[in-house]
Amino acid sequence: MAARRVVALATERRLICCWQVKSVWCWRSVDWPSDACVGGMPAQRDAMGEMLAELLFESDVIGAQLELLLPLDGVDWRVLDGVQSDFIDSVLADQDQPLQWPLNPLESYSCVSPCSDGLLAIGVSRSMLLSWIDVVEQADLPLRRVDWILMSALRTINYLTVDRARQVAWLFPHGSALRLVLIQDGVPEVDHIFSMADKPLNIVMSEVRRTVSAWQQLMNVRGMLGWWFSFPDSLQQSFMELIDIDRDERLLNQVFDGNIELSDGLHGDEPLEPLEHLALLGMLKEMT
Amino acid sequence: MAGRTLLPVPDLLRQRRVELGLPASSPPLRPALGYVGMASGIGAVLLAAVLIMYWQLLNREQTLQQILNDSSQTEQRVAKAKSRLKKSTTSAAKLEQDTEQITTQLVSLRSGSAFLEQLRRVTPVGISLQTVVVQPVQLRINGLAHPNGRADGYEQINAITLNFESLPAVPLGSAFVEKAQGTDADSTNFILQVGIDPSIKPTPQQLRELGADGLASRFEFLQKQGLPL
Repeated sequence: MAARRVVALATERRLICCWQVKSVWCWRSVDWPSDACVGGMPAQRDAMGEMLAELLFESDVIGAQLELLLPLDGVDWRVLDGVQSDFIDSVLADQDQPLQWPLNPLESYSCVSPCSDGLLAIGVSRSMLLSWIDVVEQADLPLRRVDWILMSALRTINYLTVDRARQVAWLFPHGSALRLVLIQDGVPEVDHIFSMADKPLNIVMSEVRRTVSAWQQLMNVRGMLGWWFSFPDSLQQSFMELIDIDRDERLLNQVFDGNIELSDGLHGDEPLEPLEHLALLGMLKEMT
Repeated sequence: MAGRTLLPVPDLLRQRRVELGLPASSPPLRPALGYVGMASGIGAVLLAAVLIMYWQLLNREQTLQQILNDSSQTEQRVAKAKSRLKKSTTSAAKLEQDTEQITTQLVSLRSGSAFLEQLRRVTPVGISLQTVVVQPVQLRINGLAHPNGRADGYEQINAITLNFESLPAVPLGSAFVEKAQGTDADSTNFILQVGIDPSIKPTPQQLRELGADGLASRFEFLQKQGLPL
């Protein structure tokens, strides 16, 4: 029996599994029970494990080797400047000078990836990662790798914009909020969440605009800013006002042309959200 | 833009694996095509092995069949030869038996003059033989014993019995009087049975002594020819 790589993308709302059938990547999804996944933490591990196993069983996926993408919440990232990769383990474990993130070095798992001239570190609390490992173990599946939905989507953004813009403002929904990631030459330099509670959209958009302008001034780079909106089509138009054509800004959204054929969902699955789509493509691009 | 490198895929499981004493990275997955190739290779090797074995068995079968065919022919020849040998043996045995019978008859003491001479020699003067029945292993003699001045009839019968028993071809005790009865005259009628050992043959010299020169010559001739006597 041949092993088959399966990407499992977990969000707070649902689980998406994606696997290759000949040249096409198929996917199916199952919605978690309410409150099963809160803040990125699986709260009903047994039930979630069974749902994962059942989804693959019903899809006739035999010999799955899982690669898990963690949800948005519960994972942090930082760009590290001036740290050589040889010493990264001691930097991540240094309790005297911990990274400026909410994770305790002794109670978290982290890893780094080279990113331009620096390093990009991502970390997750120990309890959260062990909980997700437990979910996969409940499904009796081997877990090969754990990544993060945002990192994987960023890889796709970088791939699609590599020759088109040095600065990218990437806006996407984060629960009921908006999340803005500002990317300079592939490096995510700013990551900010804008709450939309009790605020009209135009006010939030103004905050977004100001943040982008402040960053541009700070970076002292003019022009060539591209926008990437990861919203459903119905909402996409609402954010077009953010693009300042007078400053030569433009929309970068485009169809993925990375020679990956991703099927539509099966059996009435809800379509992939743009962020889910980007994240899956980020994993599949690395696999193909 | 030109120097931008795409981000490699991180692995948050790395530290956990190290904690558990496992390699930092998952072992690479063998692509399904690899499995297919490997399985095809193994299958081809197995198929080749099976074909070679089949070919060898086929050759072996043909060789054995050839040996069997040759053996069958040999067996048939042996069976025929055995049959012929058996026939020959039977014929030879019959011939030998016939020859023995013929030679026995040729040199039979009890059917020739030597027998009569010997009979004369063992018969006392006072006994007259009425009938003599010669069988292969027995003589049956019916006669009359006449008393003379020295012996009566019974003594004469006793004498002839003892004379017969003294012959080499008559086993001890095999000559006996079956019946002896006096008649109206002085004579005594008797029936004497004499057993004969057929294995004891007379020599040519004995035959000559009995005056059977012709029989002795036949005997010698047959002996020279190596025939059983």
